[in-house]
Amino acid sequence: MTTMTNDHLIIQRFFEQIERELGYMPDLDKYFDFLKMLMVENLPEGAEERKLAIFKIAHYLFCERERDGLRFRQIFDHIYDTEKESLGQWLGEVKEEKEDQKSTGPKKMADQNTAAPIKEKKLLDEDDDVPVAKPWQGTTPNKYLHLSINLSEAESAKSSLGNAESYEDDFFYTNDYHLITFREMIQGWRYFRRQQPMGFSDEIDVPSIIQQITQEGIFTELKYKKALINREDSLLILADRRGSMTPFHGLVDSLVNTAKKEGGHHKAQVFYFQNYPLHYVYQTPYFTQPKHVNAVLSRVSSQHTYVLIISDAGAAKGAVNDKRLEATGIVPKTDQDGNPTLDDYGKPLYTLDEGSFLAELLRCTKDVVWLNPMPRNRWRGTSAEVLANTPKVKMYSLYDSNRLGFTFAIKDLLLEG
Amino acid sequence: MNIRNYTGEALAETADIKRPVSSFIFKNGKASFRQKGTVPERIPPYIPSEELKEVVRMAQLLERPVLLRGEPGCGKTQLAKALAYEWYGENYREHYFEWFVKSNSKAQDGLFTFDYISRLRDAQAKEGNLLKPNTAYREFGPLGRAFLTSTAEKPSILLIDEIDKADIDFPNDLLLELDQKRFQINETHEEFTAGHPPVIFITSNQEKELSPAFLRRCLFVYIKFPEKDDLMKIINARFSQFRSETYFQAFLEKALGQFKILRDSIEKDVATNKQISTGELLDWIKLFTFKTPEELAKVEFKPGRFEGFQALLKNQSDLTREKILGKN
Repeated sequence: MTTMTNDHLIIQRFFEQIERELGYMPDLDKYFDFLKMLMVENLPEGAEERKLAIFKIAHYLFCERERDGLRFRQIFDHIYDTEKESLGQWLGEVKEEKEDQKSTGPKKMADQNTAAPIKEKKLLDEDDDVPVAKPWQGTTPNKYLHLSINLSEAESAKSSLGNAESYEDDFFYTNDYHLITFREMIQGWRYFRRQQPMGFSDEIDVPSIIQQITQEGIFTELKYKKALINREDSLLILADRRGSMTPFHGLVDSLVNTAKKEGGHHKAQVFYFQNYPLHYVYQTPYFTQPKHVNAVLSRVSSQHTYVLIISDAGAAKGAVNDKRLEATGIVPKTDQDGNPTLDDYGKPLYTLDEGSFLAELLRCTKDVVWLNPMPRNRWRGTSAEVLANTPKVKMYSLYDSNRLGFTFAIKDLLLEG
Repeated sequence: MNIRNYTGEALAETADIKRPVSSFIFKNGKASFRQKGTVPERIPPYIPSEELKEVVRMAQLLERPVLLRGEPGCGKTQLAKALAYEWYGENYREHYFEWFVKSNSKAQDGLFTFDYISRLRDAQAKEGNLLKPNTAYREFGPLGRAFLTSTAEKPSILLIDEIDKADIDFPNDLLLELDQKRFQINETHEEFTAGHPPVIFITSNQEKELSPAFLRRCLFVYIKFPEKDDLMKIINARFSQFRSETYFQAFLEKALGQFKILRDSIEKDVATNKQISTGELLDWIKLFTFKTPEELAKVEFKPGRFEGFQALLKNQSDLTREKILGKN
């Protein structure tokens, strides 16, 4: 018996569909478990009842979120109806082999095969001498339950499916719009929490107890660790808005929301600006409630505050814009006579303008990191490249090919700190 | 292989039992219990849906933990205990282990704790020789006990309650133990493997999202609010003394009709997400069990006088609902 029908695995398309539409990770173990259940359960004969029974098994195994329930049902119905025949054929084979086993095999094995309908009340199979090994494990003599599946089979199924015409009307759906998922954002923010001691915890402080014993020669009292709470001044977010950042509004909002809610930075300060901060930044994404940059700087701590600037830094425009660079605080490097210095390739070198807001920000805070929503290869020949190459400025792409841009930025900050 | 069935029959009625109290002992590689006495315990009835019965079977077949989700008060936590009682009767505590997760719980706490302080005290004592072998200072947690006691004939049942209360990484720290059903104690250089995988129930109130790696190992069940027939069964099981009283049944009919209107109005309201749970409904019905038949006949549900609404409506914004209800 084989698990392949019509060149693909049994209701393989169902699992591809739930992966694409609901974002569930494909999992071969669970797929095997699904087949196991189909094999050991006595599925009802009636078409509707059988469909419902199979649906329930799939639901328990795969439907990760309740809110996906309706869509999950739709996908199942659709795929089941198109693959009913091949599935029925396969189940027929399973049954035949079961019966073969029953008539020819030893009685005990047959007992095991009529695996328990759910309603049966007594403990099934009380015989102790029946092998307790799982019937689907290849080592047991239950041939019918041995899955014959191999990678090349699966691969060829995949490639043949990839070319199938029926695939043309499928669209690519995912729940996460961006390359970093909500969970990755939350995780990043949570790792980035800076803590300060406050109050008491029930955790025992072993090193100070040992120190006390070595000083006094005897163990006299317990010492507890100080409890830690999250610092409220550890994060300042400056987010570029509108213009070339418009496509990334959703991304920026997700980052800000996850930081403030699940990420644990409830009091993080968030300010918005367009292109570059010009004397004022705004407390809402709609550029209302302006705040002078000096007022912002007066609230940060040079020991504990990290600044994240979320901006494409001109990468989306695709050119070097000297005016923008100057306003951001990057000026062409000049020699003593005022002539611009060039590098070996004849390109002008840039340096940080010590009087600019950016330089002030770098001085007043622990560290500043740029998160660029554009992929790194699109920085080339733009203001973003100039900024990224300027000493003291750190820039990371959120759309790294390995999806780790955000995590790297956070890790880098932590290592520095 | 032994697959035990769950029928829900053992707890069709309230069970008053004398539960043995015993302490867990682990000696020479064998887990046992020493009985110390008994305490009276009342176990409320539990009427499982067909879904739950099926999933108990699947959990044993596939050796996967069951992730139970649903509104607060829908009976997630009760299931494991009800199952344990059905399988093992009065002595169910020897096969049933509860782990109530707190916000500062660590994955290791479920397996074992090591009493460093006692060991330090014993090591420091002047008389000497107080120091016991390291194994005397380790105590097994609920997950550890479930692993150690579980056998193919009598699989243990483990409840990990409200897993989402702990830190976001907590479920991930459990992956290895849940997968391989074994754990190590570094302090004593011991390693333990479960004789047979226990049946594990994990409940979550969905306050935090669980990681994909954790989710992919679980079976998923959502406990829904029961339909009217099941609801009648549940109420009659809980208040069995009124089962044959026609006046009370008539009242139930009326009260549940009103209750449905109330629940539906909350369902349709986009402004609230706090739905009334089975537990709250039972509280509400309990109020009326103290009334005489004459008093009960006088109970009315009309605008501004929805009796006992305090047991059902908990939010300030919901309280106005009580006023408008009679209009339907």
